Amino acid sequence: MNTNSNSLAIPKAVQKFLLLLIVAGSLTFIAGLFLSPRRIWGNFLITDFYILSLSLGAAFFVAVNYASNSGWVVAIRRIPEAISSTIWLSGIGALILIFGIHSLYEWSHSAAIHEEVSGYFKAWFNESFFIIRLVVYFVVWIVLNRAILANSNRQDKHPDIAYTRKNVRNSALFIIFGGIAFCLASIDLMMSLQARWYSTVFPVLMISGMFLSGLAIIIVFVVILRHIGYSHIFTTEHLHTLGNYLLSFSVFWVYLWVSQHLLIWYSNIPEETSYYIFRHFGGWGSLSFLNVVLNWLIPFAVLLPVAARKSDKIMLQMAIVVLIGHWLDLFILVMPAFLGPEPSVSVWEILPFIGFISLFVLVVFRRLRKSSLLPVNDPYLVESLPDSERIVKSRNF
Amino acid sequence: MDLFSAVFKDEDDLLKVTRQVRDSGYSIYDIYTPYAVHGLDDAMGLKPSKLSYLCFGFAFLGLIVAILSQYWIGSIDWPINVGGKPFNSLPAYLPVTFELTVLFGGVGIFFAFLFKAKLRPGKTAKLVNPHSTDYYFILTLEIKDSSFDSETVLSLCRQNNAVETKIILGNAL
Repeated sequence: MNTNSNSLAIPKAVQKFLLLLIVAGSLTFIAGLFLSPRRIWGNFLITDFYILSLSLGAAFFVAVNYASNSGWVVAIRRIPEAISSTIWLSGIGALILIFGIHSLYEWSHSAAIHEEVSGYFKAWFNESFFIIRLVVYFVVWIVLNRAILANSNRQDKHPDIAYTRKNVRNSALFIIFGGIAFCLASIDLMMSLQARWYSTVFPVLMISGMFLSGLAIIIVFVVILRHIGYSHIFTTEHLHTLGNYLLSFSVFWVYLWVSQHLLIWYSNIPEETSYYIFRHFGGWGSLSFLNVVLNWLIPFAVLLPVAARKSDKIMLQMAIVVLIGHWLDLFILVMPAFLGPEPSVSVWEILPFIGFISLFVLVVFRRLRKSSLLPVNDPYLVESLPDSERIVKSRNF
Repeated sequence: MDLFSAVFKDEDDLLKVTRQVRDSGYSIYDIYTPYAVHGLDDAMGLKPSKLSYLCFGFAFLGLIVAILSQYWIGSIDWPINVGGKPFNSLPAYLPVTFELTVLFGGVGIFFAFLFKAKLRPGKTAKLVNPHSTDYYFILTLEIKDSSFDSETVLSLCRQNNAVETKIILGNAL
């Protein structure tokens, strides 16, 4: 018997549909490069950072649970593991993004900005160092994440607690160095779009958004797998704990959103307020309001009763609300620089994004098929799944 | 009321015997454990606590108090111009509102719990067995009338490795 695969498969029709979306998305992207290059590069930045948030959110979720010796997560761990294995996708996206540096970042071509913003700005923001840094970030994330996944998979074949111990160490390294890399990446990719504007809480706000959307995509996959017949290993208790996570990180996100907004509003320094003045009036103002409603108000109000966090339907809805909210968050962050005072959504926003998401879903499902859905030899498995011995024996997973 | 008490050394034994005595129709008086045992509330058949609704109520009260008091202080009783901001502005109220919501919720539920559990500072604990704070898991059953079959209960407890069983006459707890 092959112990390292399972019967999980996407229906052929769905697979064809996803492939169609990928093709449509790539064609729109290429057409956009000729017809509306600045706008398409802005959207590609959003899409790439979005996919990066999903896979890194899952990677941090795995690492945090390893580092804290969490028992509850073991039965569902293969889902965040599969999602986190897609960091390379956004890595390729970042390589493509290098060709768009001149369309995206003012610092790459304007001499005026370097005279205006003094100090170490020039030493940090120049093209070659920017590219080197991007490569370093992705190498750090991918190498440490691969190490964790490899140990987890090896444990399936060789029952040995040493793999868990190694992963605790790898996870601690991932949290420290991956976290620093993500802080710097969010400054490089996002904050430097408006080079004269800065906010010291910005990287932490980005981390909270990344973890929140990572949780949401994990919940989507857990609910889908529960629906197609794996509810005996992905139990209501796991869903409940994920719901607690989603609720608390939704609050964490809005806490940081308010922290950044409040301090800039209070101190009222022109170079800082320039960011919010643009996003406070007209169409962008309404979108900023909607952003807080989607990322905090709706999940918070709906998930407060415990029954909601145990319901597949409500959890799926809230995860999708948060996923839409995270796209809107990045849209408001990036696009005012490219769209001007009034927001608009067109085919350039939608098709390439959906194409990349389809590719992401296909890759995650391929990865899920590759390894056993249950880490059968993890020492904490019984804590996560009291019935694990019987399930492992009957090979019903 | 008389009580029957049985001492266990393992939480798995306790969970098992709790389910068994409940299924056999005996009413559980209480269970004393050194730490919160996962799944015990389910095995005892306890209803979900209503304290969380109370917590929400206290927190909401904190929210209202915070906003109204800041509005009254800042824009009616003693308006001060801070950095040219309007006297009545919601963003400026947010930090205090957040803190008071948390404070009212936290302190409110703390005292509500003390009140419900009949606890107060300086109260002497009445323990079935002092080791229930240490390493013993203790199950106590109500002996209501003659329908309490001590033989069955005793054998259930012995099957699940009870260390010690006894009957407490009169409710000494």
